Amino acid sequence: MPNGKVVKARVNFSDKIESVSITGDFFLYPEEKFGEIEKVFLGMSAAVDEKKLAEKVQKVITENGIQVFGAKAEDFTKAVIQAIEKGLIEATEGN
Amino acid sequence: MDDTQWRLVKLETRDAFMNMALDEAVSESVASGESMPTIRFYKWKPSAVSIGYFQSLKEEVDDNFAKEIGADIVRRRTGGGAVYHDNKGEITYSIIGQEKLFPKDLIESYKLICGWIINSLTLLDIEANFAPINDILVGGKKISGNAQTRRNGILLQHGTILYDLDVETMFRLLKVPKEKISDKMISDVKQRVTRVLDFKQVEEAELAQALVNGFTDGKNVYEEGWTAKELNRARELAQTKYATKEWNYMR
Repeated sequence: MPNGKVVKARVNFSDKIESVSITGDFFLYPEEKFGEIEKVFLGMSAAVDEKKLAEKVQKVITENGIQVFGAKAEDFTKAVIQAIEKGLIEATEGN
Repeated sequence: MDDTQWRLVKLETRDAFMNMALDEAVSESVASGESMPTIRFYKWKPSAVSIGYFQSLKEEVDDNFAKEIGADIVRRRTGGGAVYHDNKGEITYSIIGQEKLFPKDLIESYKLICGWIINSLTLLDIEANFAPINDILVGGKKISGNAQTRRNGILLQHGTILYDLDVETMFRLLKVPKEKISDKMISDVKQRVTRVLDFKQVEEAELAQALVNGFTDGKNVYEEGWTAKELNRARELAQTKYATKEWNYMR
């Protein structure tokens, strides 16, 4: 899409998320608060309620006065879940 | 904004790290009151890729190919996407001023500054329009991309105006696998992106002058260079931040 923005994620995952890196071409202010969004996903296990998780992310966005353009709480959440699923698939294929 | 004095620093060419470092150094000097709000125009030598603050360098850029052709890669302070700054293909601008000089609403502030670019293109008989959040289109195709950050009460917006476009090099730098580059893809990009030369055969200097006129029209402007303090601070930032792996490979 010409104006479509992209969100991706990488996770370090054993039985729960040990680290997460969300990347993309979105805009977010203030930039320093981006870590607060990534923090939401730490310690998560694979079994998640995507909707509830997105709500949690949105709460962090609202409470921290964060403005995002080109991505929503749902996009960050989806990207992390996809990264977990990818990791699980790769781990399985590796065996 | 009527009686605001603007400093204009005309087209100069520097490397990617100094270009980004100057944006930060000047943000500091404007914040401290040592410098006036500033309009600057610049090119990048060597040609370079700049990536958005939140992007992953390795995902967006083929850094091996960049090294091969001697192109720099730098992470911006601003969000947004990866941009190829072809030394022969574009002019970049930065606007640095106190937040209070601009609309509080983000899209309105993009619209205001992009309006100066649209004015500049009008001077070249090119009819452009603003496409929120941050693009300028001519006939539905993108001719300018822009990115903004506000920190410490200072607004920094920078962006490029495409004069010419080397699609092949751009494709190789911006991680499109060679196997995937088909004629269709190249024509797809050409459908979505346009450049000044598609509309008018002008010298780059004419574009540069049109930009100066479009940006300064109606403003109280004086022409000046950087202070010694700004240059020294920029050199320090270029060396300790913008040229470092820690900064650029942060994500």
